[in-house]
Amino acid sequence: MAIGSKTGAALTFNPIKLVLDRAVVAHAPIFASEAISTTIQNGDLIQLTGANGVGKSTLLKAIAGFIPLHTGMLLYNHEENAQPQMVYLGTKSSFHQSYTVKQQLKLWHQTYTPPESINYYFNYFDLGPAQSSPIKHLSAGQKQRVALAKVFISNKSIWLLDEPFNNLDTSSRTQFAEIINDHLKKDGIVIYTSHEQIFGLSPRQVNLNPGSN
Amino acid sequence: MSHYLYREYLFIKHNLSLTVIAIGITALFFLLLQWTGITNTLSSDQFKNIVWLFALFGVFLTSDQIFKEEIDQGILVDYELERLSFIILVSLRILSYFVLVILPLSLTTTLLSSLSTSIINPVDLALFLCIFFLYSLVILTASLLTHGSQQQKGLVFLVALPLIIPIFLCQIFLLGSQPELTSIQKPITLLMGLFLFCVPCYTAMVIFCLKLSIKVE
Repeated sequence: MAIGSKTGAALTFNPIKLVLDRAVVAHAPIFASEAISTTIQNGDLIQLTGANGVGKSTLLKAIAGFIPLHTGMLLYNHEENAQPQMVYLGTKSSFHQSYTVKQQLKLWHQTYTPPESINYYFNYFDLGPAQSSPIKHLSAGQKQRVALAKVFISNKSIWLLDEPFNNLDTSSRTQFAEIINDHLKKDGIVIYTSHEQIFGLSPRQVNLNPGSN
Repeated sequence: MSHYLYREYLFIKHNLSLTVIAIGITALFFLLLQWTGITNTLSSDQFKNIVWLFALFGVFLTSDQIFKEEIDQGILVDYELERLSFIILVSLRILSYFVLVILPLSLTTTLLSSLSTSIINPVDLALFLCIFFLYSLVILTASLLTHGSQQQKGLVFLVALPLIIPIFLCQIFLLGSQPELTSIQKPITLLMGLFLFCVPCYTAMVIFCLKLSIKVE
């Protein structure tokens, strides 16, 4: 099954400038990354690469504001503590396993209040046939599809995606790549971690290296 | 506001098993007590105290489930990013748990404890409602603290102990003094005082622990 058959309504987001200035993340006192400096603006697609345990997911969490940087600065539109509109898709599912797909999507729809109706998202992610099933009964790929639906429903300018292509089949990967490209055309920003190149995406790679400790 | 209410509707709909567990445990212990014949040797006050202790097991076993799925599935992260009001979230969730478990459990306990005297005492119901509610807040706080510290569930009771002490002391005083009272005025006044202190404190601790869980995760 494939994700999506048409693109979302054309929207543009406010100008965003996200600056990482000599940013170092640490997920334990002895595991710190090398300092990174980069500027991210509207329409940018960033792929965080690096070896396992180097701090890619930790950097995503730091950008989301869940944890502070070990050292360095993270500026949103020249402000250090500003909080832009962003959605985060982590390695955890971030949905209630016992809820049905319909209940979960309806909950997100009410929370984020996107412009399209809920049926639009069922069709877009090909979740119509599974809408009455509890999420815990879905396959790993279908669960990932539900998680991606959250990102899309959220209608946020910055998407932070931790290994978003896991468990998706080839067709769904291509279709999700199209969704990402549509988001970039609307001046959105996508920052994701992945070890592989996805067909149809041309990201700017930011490579994380282990620090010297 | 509608999504807050819809979230609680779904919580209640998918957690009706908590009601069954809480009432089931109380009823099971009660039947065990009847079966062993111990009830015949107990005074009505002793009988009542034993019944509510059984009901407390139900509270202990269910109140740590209040935010468990949110923590286990990483849903709190969305709440934080969406800047949902944790005060509204926590207050509504505690209210849902009250409707789901505390109210039916208190009614059941009142009915069971009235079996020895054949008189349903509304003061008992008021006390059970308050005591179970306060204990559930303590266990919820303790379970969130331990979820926040790498999900060591065994620590729940150790963490809960110091939190329980003020409620336990007030409860002994209330239950101990109740038979001597001629009106319900005194225990209700005392409970109101206890509520004014404990409910805001523990609710604030629950919110703090939820935010701590996000950081630790």
